[in-house]
Amino acid sequence: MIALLRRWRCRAVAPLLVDMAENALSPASAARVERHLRDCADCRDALQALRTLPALLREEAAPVPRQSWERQRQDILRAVRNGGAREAPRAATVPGWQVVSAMTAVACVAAIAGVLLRDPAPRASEVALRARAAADEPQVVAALLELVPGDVPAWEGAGDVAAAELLADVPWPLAALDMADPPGWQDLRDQDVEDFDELVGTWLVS
Amino acid sequence: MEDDALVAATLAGRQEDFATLVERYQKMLYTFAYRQLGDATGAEDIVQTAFVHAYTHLASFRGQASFKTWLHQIALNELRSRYRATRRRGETSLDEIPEAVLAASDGDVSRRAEQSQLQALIAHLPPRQRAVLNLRVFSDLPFKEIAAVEGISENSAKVSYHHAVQRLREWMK
Repeated sequence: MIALLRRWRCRAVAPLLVDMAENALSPASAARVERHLRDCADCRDALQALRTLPALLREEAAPVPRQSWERQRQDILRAVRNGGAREAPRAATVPGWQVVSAMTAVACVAAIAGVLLRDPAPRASEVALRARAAADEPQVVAALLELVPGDVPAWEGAGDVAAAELLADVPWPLAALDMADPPGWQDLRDQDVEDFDELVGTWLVS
Repeated sequence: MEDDALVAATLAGRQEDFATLVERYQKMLYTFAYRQLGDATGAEDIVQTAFVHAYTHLASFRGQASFKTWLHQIALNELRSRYRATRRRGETSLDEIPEAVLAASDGDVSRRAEQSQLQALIAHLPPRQRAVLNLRVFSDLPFKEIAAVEGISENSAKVSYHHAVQRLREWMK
């Protein structure tokens, strides 16, 4: 049985595990993470990987260029001189018409973004999930939905980013760590989990 | 001399101070570009392009991030242009990774073999995860600076790093 809350807790813990692996976590946060690790083998394995894999990579010999470093440096400086002779560094000056054009472009982008981000229509997965929530375990799904913040920040270029990474910006992390399992939790089916993940991802990239 | 002073001196006309910046970051930037591309010729080209761009646009460097971060950002932009040019998707499923790369873990599991395998697998990470991992591991940028390079939050940078490491762990199993 998959525990959805556990998965959320794992997501919440992910950035903290990174800090913990680098010994950069405050004692209070470390204690919080330790509590989670006692019950979560996946995160214990994740922490172990965060400690070992980067260290293993760092040990590998650094690549060297085909030529010597000195030769490469001379090539770079020659290119800088050649490129720089035509376009040497100087104080930036921007013509007034460019400023007006840029402001117009920004205004257009903002307007388009406003339209795109306004109340997206529910997707098929959302409809399916709500229907199941009403029919099956309304109290469980309602508890989950409460965790989704109302003001999901808008991301530039969100379409290019995996939903899993977008989830990192949602401020549910630490609250989820301290939540007790809602009633009926153990009855969640795997498909509910997949639907909910998809739903949240859909919201975030809409 | 600090980077900021070298930048100011270059802008004042002392090109030899820019040479010091090149010497300071050449290896680091090359290593980053090489890890991103897996190709020495391409990495050399990226490094040269990045330094030329940095030099010609030095006046636009505001010092909000460090020069090192700014330089990595330029290199990454150049790398992205190439990704787009070659229409590389960058997303890889386990099924798409060549057997030869995955097979390294079946027999010889020496540390050296593991390192080589890991390095080969990094090339199959999604672009952002690959960049964040390389910036952290090989360029030693703090997550706050990585976030600036990538234009994401610090938390997102850490999660991307976490995903990258976990994906590698899964592939290594």
